[in-house]
Amino acid sequence: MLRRDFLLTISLSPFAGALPDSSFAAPPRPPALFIYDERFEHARAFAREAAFGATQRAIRGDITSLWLNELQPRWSKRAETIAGVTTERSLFCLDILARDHSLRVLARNELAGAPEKLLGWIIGPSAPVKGIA
Amino acid sequence: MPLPPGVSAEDFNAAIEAFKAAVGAEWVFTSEEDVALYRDAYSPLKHTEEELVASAAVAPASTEEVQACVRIANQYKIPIYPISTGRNLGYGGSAPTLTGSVVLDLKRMNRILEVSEANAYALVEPGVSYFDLYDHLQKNKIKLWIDCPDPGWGSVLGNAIDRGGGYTMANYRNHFDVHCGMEIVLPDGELLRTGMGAIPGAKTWQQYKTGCGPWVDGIFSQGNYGVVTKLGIWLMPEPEAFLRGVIDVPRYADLSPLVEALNYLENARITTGFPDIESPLLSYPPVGQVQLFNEGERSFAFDDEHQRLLAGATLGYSPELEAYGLRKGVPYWSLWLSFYGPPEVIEAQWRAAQRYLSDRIEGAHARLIEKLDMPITREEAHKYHEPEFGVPSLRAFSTGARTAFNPTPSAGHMWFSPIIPRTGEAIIEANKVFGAAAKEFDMPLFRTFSLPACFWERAFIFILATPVTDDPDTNRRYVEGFKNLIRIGGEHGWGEYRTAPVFQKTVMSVYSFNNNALGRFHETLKDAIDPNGIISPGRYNVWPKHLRGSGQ
Repeated sequence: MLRRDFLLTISLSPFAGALPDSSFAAPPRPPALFIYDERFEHARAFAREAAFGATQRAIRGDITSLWLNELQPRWSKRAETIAGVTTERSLFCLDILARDHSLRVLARNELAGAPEKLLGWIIGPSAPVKGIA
Repeated sequence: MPLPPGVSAEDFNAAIEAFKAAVGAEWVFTSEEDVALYRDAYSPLKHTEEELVASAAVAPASTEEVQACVRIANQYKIPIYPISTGRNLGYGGSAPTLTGSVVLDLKRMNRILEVSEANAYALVEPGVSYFDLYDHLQKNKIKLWIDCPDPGWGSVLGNAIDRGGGYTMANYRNHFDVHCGMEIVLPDGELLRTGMGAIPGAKTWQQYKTGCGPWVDGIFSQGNYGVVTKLGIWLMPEPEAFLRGVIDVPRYADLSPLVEALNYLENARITTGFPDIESPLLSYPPVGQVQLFNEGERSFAFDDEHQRLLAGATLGYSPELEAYGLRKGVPYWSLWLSFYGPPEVIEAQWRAAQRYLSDRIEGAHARLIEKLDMPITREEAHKYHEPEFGVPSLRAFSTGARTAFNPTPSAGHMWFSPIIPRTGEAIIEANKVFGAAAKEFDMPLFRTFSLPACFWERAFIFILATPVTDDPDTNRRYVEGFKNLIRIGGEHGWGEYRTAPVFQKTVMSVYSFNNNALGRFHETLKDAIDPNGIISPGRYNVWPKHLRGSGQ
């Protein structure tokens, strides 16, 4: 059910058309990382059930450590797609940081049924890939 | 995208082509998707026609390219809006003060040009973030600390010239005060160096601020007289140890002597760390520890009687509430003090602080919170409030989840941040004045009572976060309410220290002594230095002649 909810949020997203393949169920490449906020049951459940086989990383709201230790080094080498279920603020930080690596939020939407406001999202290369902002 | 006012499409397109020739076509952004990235994420005008938006963006990589861009802007009379990293969220982000401006994005200029451990300074370009400088110091094992605000992704240079602050020792917390020497591209493209940097081959550019003769650095802070391309910044020597203690006092009336004592302890340099005033009885947390409250690591415990008494208090006081606190041992106020230095020195300072307070306030009670040997790792710093240890972080954004302490996280915020006197009376007066105004304008700014932040030694900042919502009508109401708060503050002799573009005109209208002499002086300077008005028109309400009175 959770996986279906997530796919629904993506398919309803105004960004869905921007996806190379608009189905999140079978992205052309699996995301390099799946990031979830382990403070929330819905996010943990998603990590268990719908992480697409991607390497998982848990956060607790703060993305600093993830950014410094993993994302920044990875994205400095290659602009990789990531996905996740986090709060809006965590996604906000990732969105801003991703822009410096020519990555954009391709899909985002609120998870239905979660007591917290949680977003399912995808960050990946946009076309055309350029820009530093 | 909207064109700058008074600029033809032909001239704009010619300028864009010239920018491309100057910096490379790949560093000029004109597509809607790219330019949208420069919108202010926290703009209260989002989704309205009044939102301030750019027409394009240009990202030079060097001082020479900045000079070329400025000359092109002058030739075609294109307003340009320089940003360093554009991340002063809550104060405007990367959006310009004038719709249609071209953002001059200096993020690519990210070189740390020099660090002197012996003289404790760095020379940086605008794109150097706190993360960058911290990493540089760590990787090179340089025993210096940065002083950073809560979000560590901002620009060292940008926050200094925007007059931001941080959390370490008093003499490093005011980031404009710790800058030493600037390089500036003037509106005509000429290069200026300030302070000792005006001497060819200067040996002390980052060691002595003012040089000789009139000191001009101030006009390039929160200003629009040039593009700052290099900045010297003084750094803090890594301390041997850190100590934090709290002095609890029991009565409402203790607030004034508590603030007086804090002033003495700071001005005499007995305490040097970021001080905080908390009210356990009123459930107001210390600013420096608010993260831990948001994350649920710390909390206030209430029983039903306490809740009832809180609801019945006026300006944070009722005799019954005070009696409850005395009976239950809940302090009215707690003064958080911290100390950096050799262990024997900071322990002596802490003892002196305890003695000073216990001599002056009956019932003052001291608690040692922590004593730490330095250095500590980033992971160890995470147990505390990282910026107090010179460690940049993005943890402030983890407040976005709902918690018991923060049940309704907003989509963003606008900082209402007037400077008020450093007295207990001023704290109560500010609560009275702004509390009544917030009620009148139906703005969710107060729980029970608010306490100011102690970033600067000589005055308080009475910070109130005004939420930005997803509803344009609510935001519009809050914007009007915010402007009213500014005006009401001005009537009481208080003014903002910094504000977002949407409020800059209102804020500067408060600084009106002698028929707006300051504003008129700013305009005189603008006309002389930037006659075409190309640099950040309207920033802090300094408009070039051709746009003055145009309703901007």
